[in-house]
Amino acid sequence: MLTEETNTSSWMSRRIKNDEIVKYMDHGRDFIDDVLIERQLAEAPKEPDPRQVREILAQSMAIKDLSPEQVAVLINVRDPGMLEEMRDTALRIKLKIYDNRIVTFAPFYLGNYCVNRCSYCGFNNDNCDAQRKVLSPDEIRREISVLAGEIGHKRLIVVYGEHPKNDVDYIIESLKTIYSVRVKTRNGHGSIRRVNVNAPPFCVEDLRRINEAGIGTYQVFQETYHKETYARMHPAGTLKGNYNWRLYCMHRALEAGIDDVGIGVLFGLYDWRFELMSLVYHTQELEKRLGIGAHTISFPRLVPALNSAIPADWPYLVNDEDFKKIMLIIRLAVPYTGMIITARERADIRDEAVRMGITQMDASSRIAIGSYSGGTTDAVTVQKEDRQQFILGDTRSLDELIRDLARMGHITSFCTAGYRCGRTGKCIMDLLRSGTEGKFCKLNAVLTFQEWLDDFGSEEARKAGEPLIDKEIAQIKEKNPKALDIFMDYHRRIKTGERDLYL
Amino acid sequence: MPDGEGGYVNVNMMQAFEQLESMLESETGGPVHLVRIAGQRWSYAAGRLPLEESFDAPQRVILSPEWALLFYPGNGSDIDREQIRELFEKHAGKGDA
Ligand code: SF4
Repeated sequence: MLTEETNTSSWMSRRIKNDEIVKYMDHGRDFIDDVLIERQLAEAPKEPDPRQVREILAQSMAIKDLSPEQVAVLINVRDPGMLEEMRDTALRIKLKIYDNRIVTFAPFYLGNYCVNRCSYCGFNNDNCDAQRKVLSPDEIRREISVLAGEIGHKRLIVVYGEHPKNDVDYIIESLKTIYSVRVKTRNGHGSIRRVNVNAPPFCVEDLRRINEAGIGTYQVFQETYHKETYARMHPAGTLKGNYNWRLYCMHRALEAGIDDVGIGVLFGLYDWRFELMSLVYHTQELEKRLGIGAHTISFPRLVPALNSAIPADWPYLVNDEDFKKIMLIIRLAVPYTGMIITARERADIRDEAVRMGITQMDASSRIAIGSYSGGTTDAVTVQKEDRQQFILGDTRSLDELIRDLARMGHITSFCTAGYRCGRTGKCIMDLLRSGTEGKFCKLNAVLTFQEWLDDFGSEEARKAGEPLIDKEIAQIKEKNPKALDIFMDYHRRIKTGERDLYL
Repeated sequence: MPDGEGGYVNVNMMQAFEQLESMLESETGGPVHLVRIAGQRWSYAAGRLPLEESFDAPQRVILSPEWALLFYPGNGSDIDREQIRELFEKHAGKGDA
């Protein structure tokens, strides 16, 4: 009889397919050239000329990608006045492309088994204090009943560990379960309409199967692009220890037909300047080689984890000011790409991020396994260090976040229409670049926000949200008269309890 | 030709779409996209980009469990979906089946 350990080892030995790395490489070289990046950073002017910076900002404002050299110039801007101009441009770009909408979602961890041993992570295989669990279909249904039926989420990022218990078959089955739950609400019904997947790298064949299950975006973060640091954080002999298997995952995903992919860095593992340049190289490589750049970029920042090997005085931890600069530069470097800031960050940082071009935020987040249905106050206020990958910095409920955003003039969108209407991959990128997607988004944002207010909003949220909806409708009347009839028809039907109407 | 389950066999959908795209556009007065269906997901496969000024509600014609067309009517024209489907089937069926 095979032991569980033997099964896991044989599963691990079948995972990495070398030919699915080598075929994308350029004469055996990957697209992150450490020496070149370090040189570009070293050669960038130490005190950039304001004229040069303004030329770069004008290019961003014209919704054109920046080159790595231009990014290196922005990294060196320290003058407060120039930084203010960068902030102003980033916000104007965000408003030009995404208007005043923030898309919301919830993270949903389905398991915390993991075969890897990343130094910075509370779930690493060496951590004997972590309580391990994988959710069963019934447990998933219970969690979704809370997420879609009590909180009111429509969009998830579902997180899977790298382990045979969380393999492709499990992913596909869990996606089916998530999509199948429909819950009665105050005035209609709730369900999850878009599931984005954060999972380990897979081979093309597995990615095809995952795609067939109807996912939203597929996310894999490189964590650090710096090879030496990568090797230090991810021990050799583990699956994650293979830098290139992870680096080329999005090439394989796009080849497998998943045309919305999300990349990211765990800022704080290595010098943020290097990581930022690498993110730009990564999305540009995808665009150049496969015709579609990153749909979203995430930038989690390293925070303490139980039994983590990262010391408190680690030299690359990113302070608040640099973190804000990172967000600004990403917005300017890839003006139309979605930017996600999660509840890892404190509420004050996230509120500021809204004014720097962020497009997506989570809320009412719980990251301990099974914690949405497993006790209310417990999971939010007392975080479970032995059951979560990291500690949350912003524990605001969705209702609170929506009110705060409304006070800042932002409408919370639950729209999931794009990927159900063929606005994916190259199409969505072109629509965003040309500013056309905004026309659909505005309509769908108002419709879904109205749904949420009617089904889940507190008295205060409705008071804050309804005037915002009136303002949006007035704008639609003025700027999009062609769509007005159908929009008003959908809006009226939503008010009477119909759900999931979209354009 | 459609197979027994409404899918297409031995037919290159992209090729068929490319041949029909301009004709479909003139019928509907706006861009037409071919999309691939995977569960809830409708992935863009082909068709004129960007959509510039068109923002009428897209109309859908499902060709098979795997493929569909999306029309962005330019003049509010009402599309005869059945006619479009038949047209596409006829043309796609003439491919290399
Ligand atoms: S970071 Fe991910 S891969 Fe690494 S140990 Fe944690 S859960 Fe596993």
